[in-house]
Amino acid sequence: MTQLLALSLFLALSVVCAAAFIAVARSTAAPEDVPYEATAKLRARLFWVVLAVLLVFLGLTIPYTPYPDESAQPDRVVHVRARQFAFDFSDRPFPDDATTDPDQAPLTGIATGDLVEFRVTAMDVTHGFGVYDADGALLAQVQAMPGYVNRLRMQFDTAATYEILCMEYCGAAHHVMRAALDVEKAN
Amino acid sequence: MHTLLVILLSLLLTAFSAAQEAKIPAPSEARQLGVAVPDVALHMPDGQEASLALVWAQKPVVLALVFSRCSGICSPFLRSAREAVRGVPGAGLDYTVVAVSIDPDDTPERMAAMAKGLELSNDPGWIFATTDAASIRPLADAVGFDYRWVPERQQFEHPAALIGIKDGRCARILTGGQVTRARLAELVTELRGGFVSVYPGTTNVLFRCFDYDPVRGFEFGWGMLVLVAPTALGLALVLLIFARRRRPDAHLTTTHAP
Amino acid sequence: MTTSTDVVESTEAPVAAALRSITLRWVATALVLFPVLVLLGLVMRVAQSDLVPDLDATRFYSVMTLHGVGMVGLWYTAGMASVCFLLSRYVRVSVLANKVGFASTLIGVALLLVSTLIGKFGAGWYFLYPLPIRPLGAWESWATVTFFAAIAVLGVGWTIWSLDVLRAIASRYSLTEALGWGYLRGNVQQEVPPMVLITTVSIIGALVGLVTAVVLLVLYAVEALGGDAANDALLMKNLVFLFGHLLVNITLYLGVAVVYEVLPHYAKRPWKTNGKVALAWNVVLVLVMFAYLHHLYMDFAQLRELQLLGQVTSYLSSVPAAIMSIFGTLALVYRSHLKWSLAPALLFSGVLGWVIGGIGAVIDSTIAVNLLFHNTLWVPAHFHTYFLMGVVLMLLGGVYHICDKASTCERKAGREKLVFWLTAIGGYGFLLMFYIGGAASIPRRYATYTGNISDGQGLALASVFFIVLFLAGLVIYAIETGRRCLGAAKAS
Repeated sequence: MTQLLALSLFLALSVVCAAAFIAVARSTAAPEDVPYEATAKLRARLFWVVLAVLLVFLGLTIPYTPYPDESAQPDRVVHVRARQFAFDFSDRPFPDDATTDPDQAPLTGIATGDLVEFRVTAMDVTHGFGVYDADGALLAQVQAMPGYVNRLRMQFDTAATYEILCMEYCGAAHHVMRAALDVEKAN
Repeated sequence: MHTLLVILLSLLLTAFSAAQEAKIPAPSEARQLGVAVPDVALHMPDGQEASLALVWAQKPVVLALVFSRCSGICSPFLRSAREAVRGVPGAGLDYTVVAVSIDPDDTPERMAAMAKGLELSNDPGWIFATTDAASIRPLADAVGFDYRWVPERQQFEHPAALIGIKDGRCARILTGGQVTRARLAELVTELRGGFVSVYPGTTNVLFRCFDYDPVRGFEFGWGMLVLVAPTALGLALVLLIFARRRRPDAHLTTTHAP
Repeated sequence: MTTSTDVVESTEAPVAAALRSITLRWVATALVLFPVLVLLGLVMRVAQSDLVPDLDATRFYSVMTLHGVGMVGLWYTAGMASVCFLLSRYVRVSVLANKVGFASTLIGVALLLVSTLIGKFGAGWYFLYPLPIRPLGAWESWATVTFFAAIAVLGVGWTIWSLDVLRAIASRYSLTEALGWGYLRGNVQQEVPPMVLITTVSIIGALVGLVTAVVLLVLYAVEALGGDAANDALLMKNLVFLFGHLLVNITLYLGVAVVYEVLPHYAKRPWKTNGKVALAWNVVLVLVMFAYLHHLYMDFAQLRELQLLGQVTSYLSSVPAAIMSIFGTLALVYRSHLKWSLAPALLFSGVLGWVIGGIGAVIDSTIAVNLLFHNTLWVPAHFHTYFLMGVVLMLLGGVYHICDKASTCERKAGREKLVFWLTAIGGYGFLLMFYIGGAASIPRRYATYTGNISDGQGLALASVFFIVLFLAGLVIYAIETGRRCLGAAKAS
């Protein structure tokens, strides 16, 4: 939905700008001296319009940053470790030593409405953790970086099998690095 | 000789505790997260009475389940916890460590003796207590802490864990016999509502962008300097170049055309 | 659109024959390399469309790496070469430094070809740490060493070249003059053409970027030679995007400098520096250092203040661009005596590409949107708009202008129109597939699209069609420009 909105906004603005360029390109058919004052006045107006639009968008979008809100307590914490070319899931933090096999657990028992916190890290290179719905729409993502834990919090509205795709190019099998995530209906 | 003996003994104990841990799994943080912890009575020496809820109502609790007769993990575990707590300021101020016995035969006095042995008797950050025999199992279950009595060894078999309790719910669990300052800092930071983003790697990191200390929060590290250095160096180069003397060149256009 | 064969009278000072010769060599190199690199892009889209099954993924990613580094390098050097040529009216640039740039580029390209095509090195053009040293068997370590050698040779050669251009500017202007501070203070000792101002701003940025690349290479070397010490992945990512973002941004500004310099010849109106132009470019110089932060939005471990700074600076950096350069272009052309031909048409539409790419970029630099667009096809969509339909068109326009000036070949209006429309339709059609792919959540840098993202295949197939159109236009352009290039070479 957000994606469609962004695409529409982009196309609309692009068409408006392209129309302005075409109009200006055609105006050379009837050359005329344009007084500098008129141009300066228009430019000043444009400056305030552009600035205002940007500030409004800034104000509207800043509250929707995906960085975790510390005050909310998640219902589930899932530890995720990305490696070339798979995702490991666990109930507890992965050991500091990257060579040890973690205590892996299948990713089950997530119910709709749960506030799930993915604590995502990487073992070898930087990966990405992208959560896709069954229709192939990206719902949220976070980077998986060696040495850091990134927290992605999300809620699932519908019970379905979601797919995790790697979102940062990580080597020869990057495009097949996937995992499934089953979300059950809440009782 | 004495030191050697201590080392050998502790090695043995570690091996023993490792064997113990293998038998009973440590609590799973993910499974216990958010689970309500029952309020239990806390019996302290000199007849003092309190309850776990009274403690967590004031500040978050770091709970340790131990018993005084333990010949295994409890003592080294608590000793490492003591050192870690000393490195994470705030014990008694914004968090309290509560050691509760899982042994129904324990008395407040035996727990007090345990505290004394650890030189924690009058420490405002620590509480050593027993609870009612009937409350032990429900408390342990709520935090996912499994244990059982082994008659032939006259010991409880149990894992080692520090359980963070915030507003009466399980918030974070650290497992393992050794509590390091970094891990405890992580737990305490989360009890305070913060989060630790840096995963402690085993390798030596050259420069960090942000030195992350869970207690003090973000600080700019040497890496920040490395990040700023190219900009500074680039600008210095520019200044150096422009510091040269200028001379006019007759061949060149002086005004902008057309 | 009408084309004209009117020759705009040259007011240029005579350009040294040596500079003209090296510039023509740059043009010839670009005319060969650009279609080849476009072909590599075509190969990737063909592979993704599943037209030709079974392109080895390792091969795909090494082609991707070559395409990326090649394009970034090609257009940075093409920008530098054009700017050097045009700048020679105002200051004395060294031909030797230009040749050093040329030689290092040839060596660098050769090393790149060996590293990617033979060694199958495929860590992508910004070689995100620590992938180059952890390829999991996809390529040998000699390929990594060769790749870094290429980057080092290019970095050193370009740094020398960039330093020389600054030296040339410094021999006539003081730093405050070159940055247009006289206009800000209202105290102008000698006129500073926008070309000089923008080039100064650009080269300062480029130097910071190149020094960053050196630091990055040193850190890699320390890790490779220094035993068990590893680098901080977050620091390395900050560094690589500071370098990469600066370099591509600066390349764009070099194209804009060419527009400021060349378009007035056609519009027959002056485009002079004034207080507002000077202020705009000084603001750009500051903001461009911070805008790279938008590449790290999805690293939640990065300081939150830096994330917000990233969105604020990315948003604000569009203001000077929109108000001074883009509006300035429109004001320059509006009702002017401009007679449309290929050079002004490419320059003018290059500015439109900058606008459209900018809209895509500002949308993506919104943290809340980036959550859904980061590393999807939206990213290549917007930077290909900046590059392909922005700086590439600006520089192709500039090059066409330079070659046209240098030769006496007559222009063929029909072919010029064909070039313009083929590149415009091919280019925007190709880009639209990327934008739709981004909105459809198709991830970037995927050798194949399977499962729930198989919609990407159809989009890739449509892209193939548009790329072929673009390539056709490009080939006609290359023939037309090559003709002039040869004529000019003969004339000198």
